This record gives sequence, C-alpha cells and structure tokens, in this order.
Amino acid sequence: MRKKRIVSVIFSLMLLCALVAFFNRLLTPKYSTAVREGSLVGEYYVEADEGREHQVLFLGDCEAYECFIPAIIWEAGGVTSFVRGSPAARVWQSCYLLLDTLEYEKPDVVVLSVFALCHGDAQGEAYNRLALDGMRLSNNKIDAIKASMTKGESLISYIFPILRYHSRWSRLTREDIDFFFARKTVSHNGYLLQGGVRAPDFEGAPEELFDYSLPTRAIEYLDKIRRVCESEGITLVLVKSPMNSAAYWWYDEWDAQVREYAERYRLDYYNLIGSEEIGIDGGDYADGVHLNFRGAEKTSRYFGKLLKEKYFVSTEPHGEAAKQIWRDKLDRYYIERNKFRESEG
Amino acid sequence: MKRFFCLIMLTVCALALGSCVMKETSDDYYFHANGVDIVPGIHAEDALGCLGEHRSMQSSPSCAFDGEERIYRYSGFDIYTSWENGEEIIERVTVTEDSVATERGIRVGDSFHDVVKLYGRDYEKKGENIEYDGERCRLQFFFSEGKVTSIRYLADE
Repeated sequence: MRKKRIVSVIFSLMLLCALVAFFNRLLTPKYSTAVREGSLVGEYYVEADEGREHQVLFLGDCEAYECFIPAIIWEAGGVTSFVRGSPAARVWQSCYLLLDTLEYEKPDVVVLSVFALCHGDAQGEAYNRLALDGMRLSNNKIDAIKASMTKGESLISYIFPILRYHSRWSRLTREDIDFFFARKTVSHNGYLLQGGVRAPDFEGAPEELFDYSLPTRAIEYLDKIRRVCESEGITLVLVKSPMNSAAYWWYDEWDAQVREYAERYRLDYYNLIGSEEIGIDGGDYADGVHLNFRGAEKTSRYFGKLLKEKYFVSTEPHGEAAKQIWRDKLDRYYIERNKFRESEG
Repeated sequence: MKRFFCLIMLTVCALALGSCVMKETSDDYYFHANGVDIVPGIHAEDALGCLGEHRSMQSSPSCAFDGEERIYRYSGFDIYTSWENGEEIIERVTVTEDSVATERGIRVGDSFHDVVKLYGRDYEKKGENIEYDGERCRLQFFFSEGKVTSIRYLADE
C-alpha cells in the first residue's frame, strides 16, 4: 500500500514536471521568424554540443553580430570563429557569455566590440531576455541575470520562463507550434544576415553629451574580461566596427578612452570607422544604422586577413574534416545571401 | 443665447489649450515653445500634434523590435523620441538656437554667470557643462568659452 502511494506521488511529480516543461516550451518565444535576434545566443550550443571549437570568439551587441561573418572570415583568412552577441548587449552580458563559452572551449582570440562600453545601465527587460533566455542554465547564466535585471524583474522568471511568458497563451502564433520541437537556425555562426539599403542620415552634428566618461560599471566588466583572458592565455582584441550613424555615434572622447585603456594594458585596438581598406559607403547599410550583408562582407574579408596575419600566421592548417564543415557553412551563407540579393533585384 | 454660445466657445478654447499643456511638475523645469509645455517622458503624439510642422525628421531603427528612435527638428530646438511598450515617448528636448528660452529666460548665448544667477549653485558640473536636477526633469546647460551653446531637458534617472 505504502509502495503504491510512493509510486503515485512520484508519478504525479513527473507528470507535473512534464506539464511545466511542455508549457514552458510552448509559451517561450521561439525567435525563429520574428525577432530572430533572440535565437543568436542559444545557437552557439549547436556547435558546442558537436564538439566544434573556434579560434576566435566575437562578443558584443549588433556591432558584432551584424558586422562579422564567420564564414567569410574563414574564406578570407582560414580562421574559424563564432559571434556571441545580442541586441544592445551590455558588457556584463558579454563577460558572462565569455565565461559560458569557456565551459565548452577555449578560443585563441577574443574580439570584443567596444560600442557597448558607452552604456552603464541595462537597455530594458525585452533586451535582457534576448541576451539571457538563450543561455543554458548555469552559474554564469545566474550571474548574468543578476547583473542585468532591471526593476521589477525576477531571477526566478529567467530560470522558469513560464512565469514570465504565461500571458502569451492568448497570443500564440503559428511560429510557436511550427518550432515547438526544434527551432530554425537563423544565424551563420552567430552572424545575422541583413539585406536592404538605406544610408545613414547625418543631418546635423552628433548630439553633444553632458558626460563623455565611459561608465565605471562598463570598465569594471571590461577589466573582468581582460583578466579572464589573461588567466586563460587568450589574446583579447578590442574593435570598433565600421558602423557609425547619428543615433549611434562613436565619439572621439570615447575612442580616446578605449585607446588609452588598450595602451595601458597592451591590447590591440582597431577602430574600423572610415577605413579606406574596408571601404564602407552608404550602400553598405541596411537601415541607416546596421550594415547589410555587403558591408559585413567587406568588413569580414578585411578582418579575416588581419586575424590571419596578426594572430594565426604560424597556425597549422585545419584538417580536411574541419575544412569541409566550413565549406558547407560558406555554401549555406552564400545560398541565403544570394536569396537576399535576388529579392532586392 | 449669445452669452451661452460665448460660454460654450470659451470652454472649447480652454479645453483645446489645456490639451496642449503637458506640465506635470510643480517646478519650472519643463520645455515651453509654441504654446506647448513638455516634460520628457510624456507621450509624443499629443505634444508633437500641438507643436505644428517640424522642419525635418530623422529616424533610426531599434536593434530588434519595432519602433524607431526619432529626431524631430524644429526652428530652435530638437525633440528626441523613442518607443516604449508600443508608444512613442519624448526622451529629451535640446534647444539649439536663441529663439527659445527656458522658463527663467536663459537662451543660447547667455553666460555661465547668467545661468547661475537664475538657477543657483546647486548643480553638477562635468567639464564646462552643468546640470540641475528638477522634480521630474533634469536641465543641462552646455557651454563653450563661458557661453551657453545648447540647453537640454531630459527625464530624471
């Protein structure tokens, strides 16, 4: 009798867990067709679970995942990479993504996009969710959540997303059903392809700032990233992407602070704005702010060669199996890119 | 009948004017132009509707979601907006020319001494620039060689 009761309780608990898991999966946004940026962080684990390692890890916000195409970087320089970024990602989120990545592999080089250093506060819950919901549960994820939470957010709602998304019940879409079991891969090793052409609008001078100091909190996490790289024997490289627009202007004062930091700690820093070798022009922007695939390809070809010449000049070439994997990645990239090209006419 | 009609017209005018008064603060840290009072953080639609035609508008998309950040340029000032929960909100207002004054009369071109005389010494200073913290709005004065170059109203942090 007692045995029956125990079995009954265990069965009920298992059923409860299954139901929670089911509704958790159903109600959590899939980010497969709409707001594809939400898939970026989680797609890394597909590579990690297959044991694939990367020579370079890119970290940052849209300046990372809209500018650096790992497939093109490989084509140009033979260097393998992954971009772990999310919209409006903050430096603390990049820091914990680095620590998360180190649970699976150790890249030789970490390239940190520096634009996020101008922010000392969270963008908001919606952007936190894009950065954090895709992370696998771990101490690093919990630390990232704690560092990111804004007023009104709760740690438990990130660990059990159903607590946050239960109200989506009335707003479920076809996407929630179609991608219930498996999400669509939206990125190319973390690069999100964008089409369209709209040049930045530079009417008027950039807005004057009251305070040009980079926030202390951002620098603290930059320090943490630097120390982690030092202790792991990873080369940290700082980069400002070639993107520059009135709304997201990279001020000379910020550049000077980053340059001074790089000199102090003997880090390489590349400001790619206005680079003649890259040759970004108005036709390389998708929406006046972010690069389209043309601009990202120009940037990636340049940076791929730079990575090879500066950091991997004497690295052994990859084996045939790895080369085939990357040839397939390149083919997949070009297929999608050509579809965008054709749709633009 | 005439009196009743006048009363109705006066009421309608008062209501119309009232809809353009956005003041939600007891201090005078709000932007006023073209008969409109604006405190950053309010919905843009009502305020912009009362301001009249803008000279130009620049927009930049957000990183992931719908909605844009916009700059509406008027004669003498710019209004910056962003989107929150599907609504366009006024983020800040920057006065760029001396055609518009603050509620206490400071204009672009006035001296640091003029500002401090009217607003006091309880300010935060960064470089040449100073910021006053109001009830719902912060007021920033930007200087170059001791003269006001621009004035900004933005929401309290």
